[in-house]
Amino acid sequence: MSAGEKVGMKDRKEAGSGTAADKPAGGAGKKPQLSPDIQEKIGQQLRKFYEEMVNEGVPDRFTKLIDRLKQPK
Amino acid sequence: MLAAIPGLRAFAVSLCGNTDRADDLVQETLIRALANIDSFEPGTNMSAWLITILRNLYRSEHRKRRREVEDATGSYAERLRSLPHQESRMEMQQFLAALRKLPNDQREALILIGALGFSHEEVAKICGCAVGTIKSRVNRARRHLAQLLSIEGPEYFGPDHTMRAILSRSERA
Repeated sequence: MSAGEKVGMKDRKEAGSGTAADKPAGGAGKKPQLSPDIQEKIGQQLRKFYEEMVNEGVPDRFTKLIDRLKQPK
Repeated sequence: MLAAIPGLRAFAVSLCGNTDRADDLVQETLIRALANIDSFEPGTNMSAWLITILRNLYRSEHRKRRREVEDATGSYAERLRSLPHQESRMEMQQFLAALRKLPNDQREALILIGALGFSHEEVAKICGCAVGTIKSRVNRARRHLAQLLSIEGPEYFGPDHTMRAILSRSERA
């Protein structure tokens, strides 16, 4: 599964600039957009969390369970 | 099915905040899935199908256990000893603690899209709601999370955070 590699954070690009102190985009009434830095940081942590699970490998209990249940009786 | 397990575990941990319960939930999901394998449509996304089962199991179990005290902080953080660097371990602990504070619907949308890499459409199908709803949940989740993290540590988002740590280590060496 390549799901973990897909990003999902890259869909929002902001032109130019990019400090955390950026003004809210779109002026009054609109909620402030997160700066690309912060979005990227959140994206990184989410992917890292998933990667840790991948690195842990599949615990034996699950491989054994699947083997056992797949076996026709 | 094996390939979907890390994603299932990640999602379950984010729901339960506790690895043991999360793994029990994954186990129940696999049993349920294999017993109903005929209802899986070949050619569709196996991970999404499994996630849907897990989510339903969690929700029905959660309704039963509502009165029990929840493990709100999440003992998963305690297990992060395996991470190589103190820095990133602390950061991940902070991150997971903040994640636990998000409302359920925001958290699940963010995890499914940001960590597991599902599309907005797939998540809308899993959660049984409109694509627009998912998009707004993810946006709210990110904003909420950014707010929580900057309250808990203003240095969290500092661009030199990691670099400074590396430099101070190499100075000592």
